[in-house]
Amino acid sequence: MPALKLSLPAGLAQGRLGQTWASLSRVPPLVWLSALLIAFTLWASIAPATLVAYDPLETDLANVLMPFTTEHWLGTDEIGRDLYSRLVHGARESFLIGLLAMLVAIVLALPLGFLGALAPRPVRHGVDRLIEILLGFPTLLVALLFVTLLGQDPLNVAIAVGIGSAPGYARLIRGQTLLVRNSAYVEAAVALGHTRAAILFRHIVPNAIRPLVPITGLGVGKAIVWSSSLSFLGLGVKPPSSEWGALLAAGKGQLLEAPWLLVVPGTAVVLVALSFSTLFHYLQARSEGA
Amino acid sequence: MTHERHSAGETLFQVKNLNVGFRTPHGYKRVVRDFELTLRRGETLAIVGESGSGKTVATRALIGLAGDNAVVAADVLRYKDTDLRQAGRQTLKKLRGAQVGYVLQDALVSLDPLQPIRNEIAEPLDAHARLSKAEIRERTIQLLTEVGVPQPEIRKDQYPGELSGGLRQRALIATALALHPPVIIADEPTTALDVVVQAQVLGVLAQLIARGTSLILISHDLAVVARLADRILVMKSGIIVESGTRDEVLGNPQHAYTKALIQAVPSGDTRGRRLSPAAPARIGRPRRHGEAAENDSATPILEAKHLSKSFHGPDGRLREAVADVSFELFKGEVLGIVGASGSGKSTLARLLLALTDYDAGAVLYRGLEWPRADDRTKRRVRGKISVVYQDPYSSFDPRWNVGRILEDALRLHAEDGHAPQRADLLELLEAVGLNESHLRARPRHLSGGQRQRVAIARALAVHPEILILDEAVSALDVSIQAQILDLLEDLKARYSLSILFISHDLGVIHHIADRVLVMKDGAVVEEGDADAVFHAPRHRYTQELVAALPHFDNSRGAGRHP
Repeated sequence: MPALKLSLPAGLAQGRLGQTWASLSRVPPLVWLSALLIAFTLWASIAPATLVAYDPLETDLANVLMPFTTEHWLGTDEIGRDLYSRLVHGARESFLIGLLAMLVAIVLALPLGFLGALAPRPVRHGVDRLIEILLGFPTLLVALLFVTLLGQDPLNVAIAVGIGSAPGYARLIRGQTLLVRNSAYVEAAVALGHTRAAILFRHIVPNAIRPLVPITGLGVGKAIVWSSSLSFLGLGVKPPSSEWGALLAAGKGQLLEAPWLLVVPGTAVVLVALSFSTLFHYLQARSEGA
Repeated sequence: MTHERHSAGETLFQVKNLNVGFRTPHGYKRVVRDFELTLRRGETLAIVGESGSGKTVATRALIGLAGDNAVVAADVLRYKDTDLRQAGRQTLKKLRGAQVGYVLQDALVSLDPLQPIRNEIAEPLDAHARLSKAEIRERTIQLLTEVGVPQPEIRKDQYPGELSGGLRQRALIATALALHPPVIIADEPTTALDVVVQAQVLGVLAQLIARGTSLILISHDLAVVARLADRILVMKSGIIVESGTRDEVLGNPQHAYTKALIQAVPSGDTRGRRLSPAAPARIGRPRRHGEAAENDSATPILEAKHLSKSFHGPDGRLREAVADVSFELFKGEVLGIVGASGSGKSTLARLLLALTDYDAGAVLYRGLEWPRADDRTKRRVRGKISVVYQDPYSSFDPRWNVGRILEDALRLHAEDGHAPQRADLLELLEAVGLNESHLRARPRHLSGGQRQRVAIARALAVHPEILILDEAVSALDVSIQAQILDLLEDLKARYSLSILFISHDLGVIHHIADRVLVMKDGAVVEEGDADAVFHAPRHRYTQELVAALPHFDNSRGAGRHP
């Protein structure tokens, strides 16, 4: 990717600020774009009202199923609600569900991953088998199972998606922990005479979770897709909420008359998920010194 | 070997005022400056210098391999009658392979692991000569025979992973020889090889020279250079500081850097002498650590009794890595352990450090079998036995800077979790020849020598009585190695350390060790006073090792043994 070329007044080019600026100006434009889109989504989920002209639930029966117009620039649905407003207001739910799902996944995966790498042999093997069995089921299937058990509501969707994606992260943490545990610097710490607890908390845990930071970001995007999928299947968030998956589900009835009702929220999900993966892939590569 | 009959031969390479630089994100960086070289037919030219001196870049520029971002300029850059400054890709491609064979630095990674070596050797044949399959097959076998690979019919179908380091290096030389080029460029052809294997590879190169091939030999090993070269170029920071015939350069060096380089080679003749030209160390007052000074030199401070350890090999069979090893290390002594790679030296170190449990025997610290003691006792003894590894970089937590690394170790010694004093930190840095400015540096920003100093400082932080050095100088340049060896001698006196020095390098061991153990296949085959072992080896294997060592006598000047 070509770097964005930005120049800076000569006096500022030196020093710490100049260095930060120099490294920022090497960030590829696609990454900037992703960051911008995520920032917009974040803003939309904090203060949606500042970004829209209409109430998301306000019906305008004179303008039903309108395609893109200057008034409703992403069109309206079958009872004349402004799609752009609904999309912006739905961002919060989609975003929060994504974040929460990721949180649930990590909270479950951390102990499983550490136990799978560091516990005494019988426990370790038990945990490893459990992770492998769970990995055998597709994420969506596990999420479906749990959302059915827990009942439909946004919180449960997040938990279900979190549980569904946990085994993958557990596996990752386990591998990373094993890598660190067998590293030369851990051996050096042992040889110096540090206690096990000191080595665990000073070397193993911080180094094992380090690569998780960018991967967690990647996961948020994925979790948004999963929870939208659940809503689309009618098992997640229900109308009148304008969570993106719910928008998709509502739009599928009018596929022929008003395709934008499906295309617009679908594109939003894809773009946000893509932005998360672009931005955090970049951060991951940078943290690995690439 | 006399090369005089070749020395009047035609000029192959002629280079004048070669400058090579690289465009980097941080600007232009010149790495080779006013380089000059003349290579005649049948001649062997050695380029000597430490890593980063530009020797590899300069030679790569000769054959158009300097790299895409390299800027190459020269007044004269000629192979026979071809002006290489104007040469296009095709010309250079024909030059490489047909005229110049290039032996890359690291045989371990230079061969494609997914290709049997016959493909690697056939590649230049395929590219440059039109030969039938049968002819290529025949030629491959012939080449492998030439470079002394036994059973070439079988070996040619094997993958690099199935071959030993020495065989891989020879296969690599065979690829360079494929078209019988008049010139071979060999970049560190014996680095990372055991003495015995090194001797074999040198033998192959000597045969090539005898057959009239011209050789450009890049090496930091003066002993290797002394054995093969007719003329020597000494490079430092991209500049040729000295050039001349072998006997001139090694026997009567003019430049201070060349002198230092020659002085830096450790061997039996350098025992008790400083290797680096640095100012004599300010040896501080010896410090007492806790225990009252003991003079009972009769009790060993560390003892191994009939130690044995086996591992399951990849084929599932048990392989004995350490077999019935016994030795004693006395206070203030340097015990050298020497042996080829795979002889069990490093496993032995891990057993002594209680990082791996032994199958049989015992490790005793002052009479106590500490690896089998309770955790508390074990941790206390760990503070008495420190270790420094070959690769210090991987032994540092990647998140930590030098200050944090040392503090972490100092805190261990300061009982009751007392925060270490800044003065302690600075004393430690000073002891290993670093200073305050290094405190905030991260290991990845330090040079190899500085990293090893940090590793040594960390090992000293816990105030050990015993220092185990596992190939601790093997990855360093000769001049840096010399500094570290000198530093170790100083520290030994300053902190009254006992040292267990593990190395595959006989010269290093002979330089520093009082007593020597020779290991082969996990067992100790010979033990004794260093001079006795190296001058009058009794065991056949030791004799083989000593004979294989390309001898470099830097007490008088240059010399080469028959």
